[in-house]
Amino acid sequence: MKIAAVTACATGVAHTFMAKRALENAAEEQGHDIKVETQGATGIEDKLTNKDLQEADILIIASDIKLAETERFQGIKKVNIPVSDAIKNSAGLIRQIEKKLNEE
Amino acid sequence: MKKFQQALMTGVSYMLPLIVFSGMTIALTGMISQSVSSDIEFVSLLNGFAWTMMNIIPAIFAAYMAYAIGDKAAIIPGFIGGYIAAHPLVENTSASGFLGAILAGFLAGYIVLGMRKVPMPEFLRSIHKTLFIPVLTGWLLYFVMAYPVAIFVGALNDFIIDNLILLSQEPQYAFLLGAILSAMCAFDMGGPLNKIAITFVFAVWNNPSGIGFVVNAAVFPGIMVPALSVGIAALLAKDKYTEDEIKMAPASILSGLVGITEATLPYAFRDPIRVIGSNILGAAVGGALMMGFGISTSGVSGVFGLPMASNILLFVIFILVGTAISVGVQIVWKKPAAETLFTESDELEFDITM
Repeated sequence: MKIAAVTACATGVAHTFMAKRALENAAEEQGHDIKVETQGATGIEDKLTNKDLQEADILIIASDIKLAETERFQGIKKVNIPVSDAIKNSAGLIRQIEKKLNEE
Repeated sequence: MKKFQQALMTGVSYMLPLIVFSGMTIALTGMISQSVSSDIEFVSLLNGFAWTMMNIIPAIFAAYMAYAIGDKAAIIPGFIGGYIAAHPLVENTSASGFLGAILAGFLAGYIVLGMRKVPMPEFLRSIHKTLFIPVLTGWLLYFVMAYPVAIFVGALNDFIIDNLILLSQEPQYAFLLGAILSAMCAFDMGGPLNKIAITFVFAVWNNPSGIGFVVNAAVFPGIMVPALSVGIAALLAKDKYTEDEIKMAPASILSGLVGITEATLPYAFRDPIRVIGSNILGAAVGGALMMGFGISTSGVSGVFGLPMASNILLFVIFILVGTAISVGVQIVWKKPAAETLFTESDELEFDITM
């Protein structure tokens, strides 16, 4: 699976990046490709390009706040979760997404 | 409700840098003016500017809260409403502070959201976006915040002050007055109740009975305990606070020392009942002790009030007692922060949407 993800939290210094690491580790362990964009205190980093988004099978949005530049995400299959869910249980999340996508 | 929470968090996210800038600048310039006796123009100008910025925090907060609900077009109406929440215009009305700003952000967001959905004939569509939405929502926010909201808060203001003045004439209830004043400051962290308590202090400042300096000392725990205790508690019980809260802790402690209660806001927004509850308790005990023992001071704002205290040792002890109570209650009462509860279950609730 190719995964694209965006993480963001209110302060934008810790949770945003913890969620990024958790998603990356879990995806890697399960053998998926992943790119994670962060929208932290200083703005967007590792920005998802249109190419990234078009190639992705799923977009994971792990955010507690309103994101910037969301027009990029229109028409893409996505999952919306609070940032804490990504930190707590990225592995379960990705497994379940894979299952749901296969069922379709 | 989820949308509302996301809007609150977005508001917090965008206002945080301004709280940090204003709080730290006020702290630093305050310390410099305190340590050198002569007035340095550069320092006092910067201090004044930081206070000006402090006063637009509710406007920035409301602007971005509105943005989270109603998108770009809601930013300016939210700013207008939030600005009035901190700057009352009409006579006999009062600032509604952060509670007013939350209301302004919420209203601006949903009004703009609603107006964007109003069907418009083709030839009016561009005027609707560029003229109708900003002007009409701006007027509406202005009207609601400047009149009903500010008048209501103004009336509440007068009511509370009248009763506080009555209470202050009964010396046997001094400890009670101290507890109430201090709790008011701890309750809304720079908001309307906090301002009412300070207004009361200045209302009786020159009272011949000398009560002015006594009530002034009584509000110190209310101003200092909240930011001090969230910072100390976050450093002591790391499992009960999020990574962000622990990183902010040193800045909160410094803010508490210089009397910037607003630094408590991010902690309070995440867990309002437990954080504000513990702070009120600690502050009330501190305030009761302070007034019960008749400690007075003519200084204002945090540790700057210390040298003028009538009994410096007791003054410090009472603030520390209040802080210790609030820290203790918070640590016991708070639940472990979410990120420490790693789970491996596959049971997550979510939907895949387009």
